[in-house]
Amino acid sequence: MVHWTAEEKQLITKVWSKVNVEECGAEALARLLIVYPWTQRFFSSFGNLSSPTAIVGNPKVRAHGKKVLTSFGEAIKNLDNIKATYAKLSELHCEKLHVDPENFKLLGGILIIVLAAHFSKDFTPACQSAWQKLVSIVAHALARKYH
Amino acid sequence: MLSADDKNLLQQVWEKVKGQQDEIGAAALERMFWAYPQTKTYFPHFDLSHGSAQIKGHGKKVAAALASAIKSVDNLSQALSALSDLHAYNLRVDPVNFKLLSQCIQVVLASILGKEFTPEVHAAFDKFLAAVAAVLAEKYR
Repeated sequence: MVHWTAEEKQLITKVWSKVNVEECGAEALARLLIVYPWTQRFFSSFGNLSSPTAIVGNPKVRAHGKKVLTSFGEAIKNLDNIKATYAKLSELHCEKLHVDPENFKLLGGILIIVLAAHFSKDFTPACQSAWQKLVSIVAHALARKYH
Repeated sequence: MLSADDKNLLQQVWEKVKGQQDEIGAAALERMFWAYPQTKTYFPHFDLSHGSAQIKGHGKKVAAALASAIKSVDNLSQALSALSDLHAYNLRVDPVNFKLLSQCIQVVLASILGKEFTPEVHAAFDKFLAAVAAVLAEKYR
C-alpha cells in the first residue's frame, strides 16, 4: 500500500489540473521515440518515424500519446489504488503487447522532463519529487502482472 | 553515439546557459537529493538543506566539469580522466546514480529553456550525459 502525504497528492493534482493531456501526451511519446529510438520497435504500424520532425508530426504518435496520458489520469484519480487500476493494463502489456517494463521507466522520466519544460520554475523540486514517485509507482503497477 | 549535430547543439545550448551554470549544478543536485533520497548517503558530511553553501559549492564543481566536457566533447575520456580516477578509486559512487543526476540535470535545463529544450536538444543531452557517466565508471573494474 503506497503512502502519499497530503502535500504529495496536492502537488500531483495541482500540476495535473493544468496539463493539456493531448499535447503533453503527444510530446512525451514523441520524445520517447526520439530520445530512445529503439522504443520504435513497438510502433512499426505507425508509418513515418524516420526523423524527429516526422515523429512529432505523426498523427498516430499524437493519438497514441493522448491515449497513454489519459490512462495516466486514471492513476491520478486513484492514487490510493494504482495497483488495482492498472491490473488489466499490466496483463495487456505483458500478454499482448510484449513490452519490456524498462520502457515504462523511460517514459516516466521523459514525462517529467516535458512537465519541467512546460511549467518551468513552478515545477519545483518538491513537485518533481512527488511526480518521480508517481511515475515509479505507475511503472511498477504496469509490470506487476507480468509472468 | 554523439553525432556532429548533437555536438553542435550541446555547444550552442551551453553557450546560452553558461551564465547560470553554477545555479544549474546546484539546482540539479538539490532536486536529486529530494527526489532520490538514497543519493544523500554519499554526502553525510554535507549540510543538505535548501540553499546550503555546500550544495552551491558542489553544484559549481559539477557544472564546471560538464562545461569542460562539452568543450572537449570529441575526447571525453581524456577530458574527464582525473574525475574518472576519482570516482573509481575514491568516491566509488554506484554508477546507477549517474542516471539519477542526469535526469535532474535535464529537468533543470528543461525548466530554464522551455520550448528551446527541443526533442533534438533533449536527445543530445541525454546521450552526452550517458557518455559522461560511462567515462566516470570506466575504471571501476
